[in-house]
Amino acid sequence: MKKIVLVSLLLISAILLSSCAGGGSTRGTAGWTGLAADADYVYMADGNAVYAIDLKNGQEVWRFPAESSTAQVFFAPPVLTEDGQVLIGSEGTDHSFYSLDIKTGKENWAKSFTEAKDRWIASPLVHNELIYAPNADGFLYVLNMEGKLIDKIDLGGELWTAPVTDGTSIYVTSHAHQLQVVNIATRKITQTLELDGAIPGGLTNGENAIYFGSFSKKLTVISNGRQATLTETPNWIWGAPLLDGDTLYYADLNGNAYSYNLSSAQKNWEVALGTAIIASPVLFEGNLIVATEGTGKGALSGTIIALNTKDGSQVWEYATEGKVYSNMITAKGLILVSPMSAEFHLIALDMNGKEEWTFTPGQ
Amino acid sequence: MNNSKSNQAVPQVSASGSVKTILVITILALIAWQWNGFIAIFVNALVLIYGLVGNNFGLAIIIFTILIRVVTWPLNAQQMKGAQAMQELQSDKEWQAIQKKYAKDREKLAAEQMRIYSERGISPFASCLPTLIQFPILIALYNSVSRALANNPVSMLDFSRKLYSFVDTSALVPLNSHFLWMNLGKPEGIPLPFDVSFLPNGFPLLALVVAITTYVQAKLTMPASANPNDQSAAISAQMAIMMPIMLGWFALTFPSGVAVYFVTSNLLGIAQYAIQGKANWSNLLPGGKNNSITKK
Repeated sequence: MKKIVLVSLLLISAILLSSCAGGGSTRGTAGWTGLAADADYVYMADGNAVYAIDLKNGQEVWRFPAESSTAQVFFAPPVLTEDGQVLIGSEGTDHSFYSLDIKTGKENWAKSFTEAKDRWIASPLVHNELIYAPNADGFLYVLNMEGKLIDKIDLGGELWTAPVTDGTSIYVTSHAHQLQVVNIATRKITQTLELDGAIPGGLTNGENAIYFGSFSKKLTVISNGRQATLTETPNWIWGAPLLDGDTLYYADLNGNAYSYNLSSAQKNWEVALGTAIIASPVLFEGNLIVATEGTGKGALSGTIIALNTKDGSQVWEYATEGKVYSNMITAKGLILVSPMSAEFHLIALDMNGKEEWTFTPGQ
Repeated sequence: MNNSKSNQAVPQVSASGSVKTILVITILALIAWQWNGFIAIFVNALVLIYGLVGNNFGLAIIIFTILIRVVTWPLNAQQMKGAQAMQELQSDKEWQAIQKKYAKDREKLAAEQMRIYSERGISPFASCLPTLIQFPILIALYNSVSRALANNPVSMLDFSRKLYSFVDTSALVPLNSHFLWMNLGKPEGIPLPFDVSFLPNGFPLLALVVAITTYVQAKLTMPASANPNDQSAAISAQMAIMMPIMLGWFALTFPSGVAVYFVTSNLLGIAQYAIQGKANWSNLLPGGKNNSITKK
């Protein structure tokens, strides 16, 4: 009897632990989608594949790889280059960084870049014919446009956010609660700023200033090498703030959206929208678009909300029937959103919040 | 007369066995009912300790394991006591006599066994029930380590929602997952100068340490028994082989933070047995008394 009990316990624990471990990274478990667009297509990093989708009708143009593998997982927004490359790294176990042909989705380089030791969670930055790709192994890899390693810079902590540049320096944040300033010419770290909290959503480049929100519940500016708190929030700020003239738009995990005037150093308005706001806000046809995460279906689902930029009043809303985490983008008069746990993977809305098309990958 | 001698030979276990059984079952039911809350307690405790020890998650796991061991010390002590009582019962003359007498009458044998258990205040599950508590702790710890060392934005968001709002963790998260040569959020392995297809993470040093310490702990707790029909000893001997293999496999496959828990827990278990004078060190030597025990 005792033997049966013990053997059963071992089996149950093995099953429970195995089930906790999860399988390969796929959509909905590993991360969220990353979106980018040009005049014709929207490019979606979504689970085990990257898709090019026609903006006119939501039809798939190509996908990479043709045969999906659990070793490859994509969710950082792809970066589109002027010479027709789609750059994206894999968050999966392959640790590969790819350059795809923007027209066909075929690999451009003879071999993907595989020298990084960890996952590619952040998008790269392309500047002056060089690719600056941050990896979770703590290195900023500098590649030429043919995928050859030029240099790698140890930044000391996991890198999850895309770098930004002011033309002279590159700014990168790490999980070590630091913001590193790297000189482009020398590729050396020129300044390390200690932060109160990690920056999950990335940096926003302004004129002679860098803005960000963080887990420290603060909206912060870095200017002339110094950081200053602009304002505080009741919960973490996840998405990168949006800068429009002298106004910053941002949101927090309590579901509040804010407008902040940089000139007067005062909040213009704030509105409570219910559930957490993770995606960065975007401007679209004169409105501020924010997305709530959502907690269920119907009225409780993640909702795209258009707000009047002047007073934060609601213009329209669209319930996605899913949860919205990833950043929205705008292209060709459409706002593109990729909710999780919805019946579709991508939806295009017009300026009035009316559905134009949806996209769900076929087999 | 024989009975009284036998009674003296077998250690008496508290007659409150059934109360303890109910208590253990109640605790397990509460854990199952409030599983997410149980995980949240673990996550927050780990994060709190992480902050106190200078942002070192490996140390946080070790200290947390020590705390769990301290809290479950009475349970483990009871387990040892119960196991020893059951072990010694196997050599008891009255016990052996009823095994022979009612060998063909299982119902009568069961009734007689229960009578002896009752008379001597032994709960046959006294050594088993405390083990039950260990399993939710193990699974919760595995969950907590995986959640705390969030390795992508979704898991980071999930982790943030497990943190208590009254604890200011903004300066602590994301947690630093590096400890010694390990990334605690990933299976451990020391890189090899050549590729070995079945060892994708390198040489699994920690998994080996887990297997060895589990084996040592199991061997130390096997009481000496001269009775070749001793079922408990046979089970213990089988478990001493099965457990190291299973936990070694867990350590090989799961985040190394869980393996750190296994090693710490095993070492503390060995220490507890040694402190209580229950460690059977002779079992570790070749030809130790229990090595020859097999179920016939």
